[in-house]
Amino acid sequence: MDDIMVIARSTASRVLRMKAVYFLLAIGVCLIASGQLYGDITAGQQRAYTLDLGFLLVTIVGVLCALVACFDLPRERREKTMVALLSRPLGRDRYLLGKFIGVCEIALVCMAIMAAALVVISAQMGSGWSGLEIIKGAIILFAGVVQLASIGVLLGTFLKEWLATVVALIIFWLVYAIGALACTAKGITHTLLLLLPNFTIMSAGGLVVRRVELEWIMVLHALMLAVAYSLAMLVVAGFIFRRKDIA
Amino acid sequence: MANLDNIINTAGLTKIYHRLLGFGSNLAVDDLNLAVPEGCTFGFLGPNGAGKTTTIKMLLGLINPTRGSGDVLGRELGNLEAKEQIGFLPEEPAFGRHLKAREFLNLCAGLSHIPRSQRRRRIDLALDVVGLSDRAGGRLGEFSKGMLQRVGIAQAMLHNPKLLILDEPLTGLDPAGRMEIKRIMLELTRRGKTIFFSSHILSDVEELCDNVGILNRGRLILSGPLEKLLDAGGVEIIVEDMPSALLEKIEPFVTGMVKQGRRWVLQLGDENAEKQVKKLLTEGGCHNIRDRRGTVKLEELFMQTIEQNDIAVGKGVENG
Repeated sequence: MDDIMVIARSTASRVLRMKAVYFLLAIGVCLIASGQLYGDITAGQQRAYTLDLGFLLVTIVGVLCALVACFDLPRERREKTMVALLSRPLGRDRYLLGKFIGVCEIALVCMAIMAAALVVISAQMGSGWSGLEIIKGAIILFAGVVQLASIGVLLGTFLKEWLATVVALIIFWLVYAIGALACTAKGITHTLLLLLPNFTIMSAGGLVVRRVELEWIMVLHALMLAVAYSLAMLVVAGFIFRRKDIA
Repeated sequence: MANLDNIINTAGLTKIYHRLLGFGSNLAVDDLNLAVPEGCTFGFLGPNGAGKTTTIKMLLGLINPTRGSGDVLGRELGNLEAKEQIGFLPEEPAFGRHLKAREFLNLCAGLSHIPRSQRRRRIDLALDVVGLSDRAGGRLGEFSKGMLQRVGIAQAMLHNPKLLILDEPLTGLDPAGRMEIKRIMLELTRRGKTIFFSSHILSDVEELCDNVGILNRGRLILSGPLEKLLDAGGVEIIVEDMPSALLEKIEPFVTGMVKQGRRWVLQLGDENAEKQVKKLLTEGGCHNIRDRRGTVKLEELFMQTIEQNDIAVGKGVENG
């Protein structure tokens, strides 16, 4: 387990050394805080607007973190860092798992910062939304990001940086409405769509805004789905990666 | 297949790179049968593109062979338990420019399953051996090629492996850097490590290795103990004050004769000729007779072997 955590820590620490991450978080927090200035253009709904914007920004930050998985693996292959790492007694599956955990760690930290800012600003505005509901919503969003990170790891095992990122974004965009697509599609298309992750859980923020109470069981289901889906993706990624030459 | 006297064995190891969508292929390593004895310093030679790095990566399990098999430390290629005992220096040491030398070595120690309690001591020791103790806090991105190479050797020896595989450790270094790396390699040899390294710098290989293998066009064309390979087979006899009457008698046995003042240097093709000539000289009253074994330089051997192989391959192609 130690070697997996070494890879995870190394992945997370490399990303957290990037100034862009802090810039992104600062911008995000400022945007949430600025929500209360939009009283006129939101027809007095600035509290709901701020919350909605906040969840959107938490999602965007999470998705950007998940995309690290898309370009980190191909980058390490291109820069040949992977050669030095995999020449050690480190299984390829464990390397992939370490990368995945590292990306999830970054997403967790960044999303937690954004969610905490949302809770504080929301409480300051006296919006009436409970901080716990906001946290539940953020956890469900995190579950969606975990699934996207696993797709990023899978794509990163065989695609170049830019291609993996573009494909991951297309998948994210496509499957955001997967519930509707899967219902209308038939036959093989229907089966294929079911293989893609279900990101309808990422509209949890909308439910919170509409004051729908999120049950803990729903949060648990979202997390279990994320773990199961990610494991399946990592198994496929490991199968592909073991056959790949690290030249 | 495993010969326990050898630390590395391969049998028919072959790698073919297939281009995208099956348009053509490139034979990088062809039917490689390699045997590296334990405890030796093995120089793996070959021109650019001969397949040295591909072979090394197959030994480490980084590249999957198309055919053939092999074992390192008695275990199949890429085996994780075998890798616990292997230290590897890649051709291009790319170690994460943002990391400090100590951070990088700590990461490597974690991946090599070195217990936390021992890590600091092992890292200090490795940095000391490569002479980088005073630069432990420096960022790798600010290091010169020579310093990176030394960090590379430090990470390779960090877990005290039995076998060190070094891919072009002396390439791209200035004379001082080369001297330093050679010093480290000799020190590792003295500590009983088996070193398998590829290089283009033949004078260094001659200086450091006791066994070599020459690879050309993916095929191992020569391999064995360096001393044996450099033995040209010829013998020279040096004799002083040789009576001219003996010249005619010994002429049939010699391949060349040179007079240097009072001395004659007689070149002989084989041991039989050597025996006959020595007998004739002794019977002829010569007393001051010395012999000298003929050797070739590794550079000559390398060039001859490669040229002969290229000609043979060329003829093979012509013949169909």
